[in-house]
Amino acid sequence: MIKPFNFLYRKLIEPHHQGYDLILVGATALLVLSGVMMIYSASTPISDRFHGSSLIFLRNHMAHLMVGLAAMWAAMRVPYGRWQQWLPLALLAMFLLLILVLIPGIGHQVNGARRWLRLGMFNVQPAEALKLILIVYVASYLNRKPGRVAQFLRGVLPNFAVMGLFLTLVVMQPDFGTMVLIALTLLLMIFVGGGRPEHILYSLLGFCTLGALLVLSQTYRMRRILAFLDPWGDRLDSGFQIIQSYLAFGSGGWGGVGLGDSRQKMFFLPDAHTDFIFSILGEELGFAGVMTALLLFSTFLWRGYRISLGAREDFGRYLAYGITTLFALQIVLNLAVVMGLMPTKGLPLPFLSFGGSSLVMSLFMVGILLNIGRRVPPAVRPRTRETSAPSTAPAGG
Amino acid sequence: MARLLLNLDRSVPARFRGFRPRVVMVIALFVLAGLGLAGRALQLQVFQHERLSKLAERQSRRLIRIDGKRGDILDRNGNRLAASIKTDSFYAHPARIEQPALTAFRLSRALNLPQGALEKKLGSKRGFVWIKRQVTPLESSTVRALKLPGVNALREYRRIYPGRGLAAPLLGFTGIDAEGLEGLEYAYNSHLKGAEGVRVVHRDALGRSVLRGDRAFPGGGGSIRTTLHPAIQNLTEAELSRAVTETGAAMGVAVVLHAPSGQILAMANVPGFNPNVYRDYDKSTYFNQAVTNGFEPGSTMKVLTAAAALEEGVVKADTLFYCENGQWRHYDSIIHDTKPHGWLGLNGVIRVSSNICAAKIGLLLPPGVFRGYLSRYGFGTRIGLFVAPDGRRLAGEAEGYLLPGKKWTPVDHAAMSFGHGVLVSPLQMAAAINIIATGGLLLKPVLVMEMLDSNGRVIQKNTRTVVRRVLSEQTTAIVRDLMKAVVGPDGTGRRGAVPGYQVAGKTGTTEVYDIKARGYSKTRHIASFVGFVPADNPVLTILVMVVEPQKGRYGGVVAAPVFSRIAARALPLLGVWPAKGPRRVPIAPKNAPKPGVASR
Repeated sequence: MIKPFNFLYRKLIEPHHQGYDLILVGATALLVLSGVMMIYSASTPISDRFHGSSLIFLRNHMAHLMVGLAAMWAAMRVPYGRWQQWLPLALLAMFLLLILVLIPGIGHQVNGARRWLRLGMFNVQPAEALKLILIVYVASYLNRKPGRVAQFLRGVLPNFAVMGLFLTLVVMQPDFGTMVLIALTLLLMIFVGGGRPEHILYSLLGFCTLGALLVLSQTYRMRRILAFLDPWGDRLDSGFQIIQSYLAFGSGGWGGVGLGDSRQKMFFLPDAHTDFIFSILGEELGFAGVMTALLLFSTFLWRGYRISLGAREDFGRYLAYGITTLFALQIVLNLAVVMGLMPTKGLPLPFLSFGGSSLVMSLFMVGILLNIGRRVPPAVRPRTRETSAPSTAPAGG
Repeated sequence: MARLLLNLDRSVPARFRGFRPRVVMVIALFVLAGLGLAGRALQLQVFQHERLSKLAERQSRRLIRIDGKRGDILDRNGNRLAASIKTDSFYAHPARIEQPALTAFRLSRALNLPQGALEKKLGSKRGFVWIKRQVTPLESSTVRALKLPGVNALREYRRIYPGRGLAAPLLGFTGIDAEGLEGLEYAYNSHLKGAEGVRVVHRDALGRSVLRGDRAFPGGGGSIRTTLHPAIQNLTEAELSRAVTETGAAMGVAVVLHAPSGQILAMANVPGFNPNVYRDYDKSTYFNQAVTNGFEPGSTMKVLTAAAALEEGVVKADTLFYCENGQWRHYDSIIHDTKPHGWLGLNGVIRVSSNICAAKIGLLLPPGVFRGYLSRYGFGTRIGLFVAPDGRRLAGEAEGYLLPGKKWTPVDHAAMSFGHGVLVSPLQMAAAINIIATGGLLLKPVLVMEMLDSNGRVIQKNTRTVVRRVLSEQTTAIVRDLMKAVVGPDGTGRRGAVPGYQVAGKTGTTEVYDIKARGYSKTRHIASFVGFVPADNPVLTILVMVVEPQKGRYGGVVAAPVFSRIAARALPLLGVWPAKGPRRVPIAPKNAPKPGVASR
């Protein structure tokens, strides 16, 4: 590890970290804490207005965080190979859930989108779990049938078929953002799993055509595109959100207006505590805060890809790669949207945005990553370095 | 390095050989995306910071003007003639009122406002409407008790005038935003006005205020302490008002000067108004005619003409004049007297107030010399009653009109000798007559004794100021005797006598110059009387002017009795007792302030 601290590391940390990637744990912890902080700050006005107390959203988020930490702990303990075994069951359950969500009366509607299931005090968003299930599916496919994806009809298309089935259900909610996210993630997985670049390119073109048709089918999506192209042209209506986001970022300057002192969260910026929370971070903590957040995300993603590249077998490799790429895409897409580089889609920012299902699933996936990246610690290793060469269990760190 | 960062050495290679390079490609793609995002953040947050933050500020910020407490206007004893008190002003956010009709109904009952107009206001789409400003404490507590959602109060200072109409045209008044609009309030506005504060209120997108600005009220304005004697002001207004009512006059003006110091003890205008509710009165009542307007003084000028002639030595106390039996042709004009007179001494000329002889006296002086005297009496120049600490002259004073030397004709010369063809404000006239009372010194009338800062420290003191010596004591002694005769048993001003005191005075009756008819009116007059008392040791110099009386027309009939009554009541208040014991005099306070000495 870090040389000057070798002694301290060996004495204090190594006996306890049980082979988990501490840097990933650290980055996740800092992101989660930033999320708690920013959600409290950004949700205060809306919480106060609609629930009579400024703490409602924070409390809700903390409850989900507890659930998420439990899920993460579970994922850390369960050998990740198991997920491959449970895949068929999960696919079936997900299919049923996605249909349930669409049924009025069961599916809970927010802002015109039917994405949630009420489960006691929690609203569960099945599409969040779908991301992981499809990643597991593709990772498992690439593991089970190596080299098959090099052929379009026999390798790529079956994946698309499964994906298409589920994504159709997602689009019906409607949840365009999640669909784009999943499609891109899976495409990138097929790419590193041996898919031919030309197949990937054609598929991308096909997706774009499909996406364009979807955009044209819904006026609100069309207006989002137009607003993206010229937000100032319709600054009070369709361009409103992105302009308010600009104003938030712009107010921040180098050092920000100060934590809790955002003005844009005072009902100027819609979705300030969910999809657009990064704008509030930009306003309150400035460019310095934005760069720190980017650094945290980068560290997180770096560790994710490092785990993927260092994995001992293909399923873990593809699974870690898929999860990390999902995070990477979601972060990039969200930030691109809030900074006006892409049309509005409705994707939450992992760890920072308010949203229970997203947080629980994110932590769960971090748990899986940690499990894949786990190394047997030296303490557990038999002290017979001279007699047996450690071929199956590589050295820790 | 890259191998270590990405853990490339320790893994078993994937079955697909292209895995590693392709993952590195994807990572590179995301690194590029990350750099792009950082660049965009830099662009938005640093390069466009100025523009965007200004826009954000503009949509959320609202400025509410909050003025500091306006300073007081005090009388000579330090009592408030004008003061500012904290009041509530109610406003509403119509967007947040759920039941405009009910709210309007309840507010209209509590604040005595028309319900219909209120309902329209509350139902509007504006972000902010005033309901009623500067309400009474009772109204305020009633509305507060209703606890109406969307209705809020803002603290504002309200100007009140505890004396109601007392010295109203002199004090003036302020508008709803505490800007002085008339009188002293206007002239001294920049001194009285509190610091202009702006409270920055941040507003959320729902229009609700999120107060973040400085809550402290800005600094208050300075005060001014006037020389007004409240009791004398009050009785002067009462006596003047009585005369105006009795004679059916259009208006009346009175000025009471403290003769030795030049301080203005009272300055009355009738009809007046109540500055607390100034909107209920006609605008013509707002003006302080004693200072802001010029009149032709008429016969009261004759004593000043005589004084100038005596000073120059062209006449003596025993010089005789022929008064042409009431009609004298001078160039192309004919001068009349009210009664025909033959030969008269200087004493007689003043006593019977002969225009013809006054003109002859005036014509004995070369034009330049006569004009020089008029100018030195203070006519044609502003007194400088309102002066800021930095010496700047403040607004609101008339200079009168004195014909320029070049346009001076013999006819003008003659007319000016008996007070026509010259415009003089009542205060200028009182100050000029006060020259006789002081033994020849022109004193600058003082209205503002002290200017105080907001903490009550004196920043400017206006003491007795001698503008210049105009006449010698010998001359004034002679003129004083001439004026005593006017109030004597067969003088025109005999009704101006004050029982128990020796009075020196002069009547004046002027025909009003009708601008439309381009001539003097035969039916409209200005009756005036000016004098000082006690004659040999003057304490008060009083000018009374009644404009267009319907009953009576002569100064000796209409104005002189007012002079008499004011003097009779005011002198005991200053500790000056009548020779034969009090008669027709109200009970004086035991610790009556000594003349010219302010007692708090």
